[in-house]
Amino acid sequence: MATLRRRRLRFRLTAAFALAGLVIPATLSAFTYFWARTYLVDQRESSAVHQTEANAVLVGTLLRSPRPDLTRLVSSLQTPSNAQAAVYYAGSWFGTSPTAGPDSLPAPLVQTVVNEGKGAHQRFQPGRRQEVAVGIPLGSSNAYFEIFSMADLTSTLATLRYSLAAGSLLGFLVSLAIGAWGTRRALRPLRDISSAAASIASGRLDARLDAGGDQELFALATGFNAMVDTLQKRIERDARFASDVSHELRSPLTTLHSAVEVMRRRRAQLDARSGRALDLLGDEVGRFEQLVEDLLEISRYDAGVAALDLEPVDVASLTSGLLAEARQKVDVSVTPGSGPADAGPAAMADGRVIMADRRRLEQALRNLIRNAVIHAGGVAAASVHVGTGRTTIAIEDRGPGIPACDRDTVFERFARGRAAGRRSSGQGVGLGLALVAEHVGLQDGEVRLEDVAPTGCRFVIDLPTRRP
Amino acid sequence: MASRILLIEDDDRIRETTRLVLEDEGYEVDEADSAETGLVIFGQRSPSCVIVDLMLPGIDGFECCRALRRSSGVPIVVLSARTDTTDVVAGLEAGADDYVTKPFHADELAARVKALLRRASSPGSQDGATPVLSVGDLEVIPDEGTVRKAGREVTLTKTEFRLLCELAAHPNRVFTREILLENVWGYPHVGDGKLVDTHVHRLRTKLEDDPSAPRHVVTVRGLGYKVVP
Repeated sequence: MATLRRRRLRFRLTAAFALAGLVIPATLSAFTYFWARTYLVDQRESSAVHQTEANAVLVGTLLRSPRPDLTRLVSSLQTPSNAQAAVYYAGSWFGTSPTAGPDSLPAPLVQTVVNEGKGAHQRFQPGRRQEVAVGIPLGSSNAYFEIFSMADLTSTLATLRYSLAAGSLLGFLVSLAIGAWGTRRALRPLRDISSAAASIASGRLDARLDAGGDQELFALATGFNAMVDTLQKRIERDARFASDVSHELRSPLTTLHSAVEVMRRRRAQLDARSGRALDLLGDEVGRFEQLVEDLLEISRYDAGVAALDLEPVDVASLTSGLLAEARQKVDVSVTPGSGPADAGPAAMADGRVIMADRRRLEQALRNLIRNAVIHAGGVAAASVHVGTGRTTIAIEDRGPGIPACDRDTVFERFARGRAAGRRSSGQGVGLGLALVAEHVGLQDGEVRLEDVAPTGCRFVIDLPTRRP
Repeated sequence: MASRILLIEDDDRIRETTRLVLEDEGYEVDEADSAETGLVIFGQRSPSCVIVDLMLPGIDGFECCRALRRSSGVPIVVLSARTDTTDVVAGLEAGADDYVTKPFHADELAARVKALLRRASSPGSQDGATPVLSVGDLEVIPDEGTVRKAGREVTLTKTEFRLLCELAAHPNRVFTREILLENVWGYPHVGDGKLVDTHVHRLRTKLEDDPSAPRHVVTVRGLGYKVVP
């Protein structure tokens, strides 16, 4: 999630850079292009008009001569290669080429020039060509026209367009690259902090930031490091405190337990009230011992000194042994994932043996079974599945199930379900399931709670199958 | 006649209550508050079992175990303050037969002692004339409780000897740690594989030419141990 958010931030910054890199050159290019086009076209039009006017003067002079030979006159006109000329004289058309005539001129232009006697020019597009036509009236109902092709101008503009587009694209790509690089650089401290925080969260409290980098980041890095220092000291002190207290409590507890044991042997000699008091004392001492043991165990996790101790464990026989110990008459259904069943007991056993921390797995299972016995009317079913990838051990109880609201918190320390809140049995100490989660987690596994309503709930220990 | 137990523990209250429980179980208990006193009492009273705390002022429990082992195969139970396996394994390596972690239950301790003494009183075999078992250059004589390696006698503790007999009685059969715990230590089902592992290690140190490459007592990966004849 954090990674995603960081990605998104980086992505957003890069995108902003790239967008700027796209919009700014594109706008400039568009502006440049339209300005250049307008300028060039205007330029071309005015030069066309000038040239036509010059030729029109010549043609006008020649037309005033008696019996003008219009065909010769037109062919003698000096027109550039990209232009054609046409003369409208006495209702007839004379062009420099067969096509030059009313068909190649825009009708409104001819209308304006011939009928209204006004000089005019018009850009038009016969087919895909760009042309400009200029008409100059020569006295009454005579006119001189020239048609200029703007093909060269069109191709010039196309080249300009492509160059500008290519420039914009290049600008975009460059700014994208700069954005990505710059963002990465700018966010590097953030990444360092986040990875340091992740290390700390995963228990490596010695992770620190390098404060020797940027001036701006110095304060942040030193502040961060100081915070982690304080945190580390506090965590270690807390963890040590729980551990120290528990250690100190062990000796008196040993004495207490033994003393109760001595008195229990003589319970028959006590009167009823003393006997009952002894029972209460014994039960509480037992609970106290359990609490101290669990505290010691869990403080080892808090101090980060819980070390995995893997050894081959036959999970199925361990589970059935613990059930027998708790006097739960339940058959463990076993489904070995591998190992051919007909290859003899050794292979069968081999299929059921995984590498696990025996002591911790045993304690986790014992806690689950105890939980079922104390809070949920005993174990209803147990199953072991040793698969190729995962090994699962499920303990199902006979209780009323765990309400949805408590399900997320059952593995928390001293979490007491609403149903279990009354402490009437005086048995639970609230660390049992938290320890299960820690023990299983240390072995890269997880413990989960599955509902098997209406009969109860099922705790599943899910471990990786490490083969010996 | 009641078995005599030597209890070496420096915490007065724990020692006293433990003595009370052990006496309730019918044992005679000699107390010592240090290994030095304990070793002296051991020489005077020759108890049938020794319980020793690993954390003692002066000579510690580990050294005490080694001192006892130099002269005797007496069953030893160590009291370990921590559940840290390093302490436990070190104690077992020093020669202890079994261990209990603090806060221990005196009744559980008594049960351990009882199992140890029951085993100690009966040698490796139950019936009278058990044939001599031979494993390579080893000769195991259950009736005498002795082992000879290439003709020379090797001193084993009673637990080591029982473990060897158990394995050697069925060469090539694989024994799981659970089975060995039940047959040799007398604990039902759930137990501690380390107890078996350290004893196998001790056996190898005494019996094998090269303990790191054992030829007699070999590990079967993921299952347990077997003896190869």
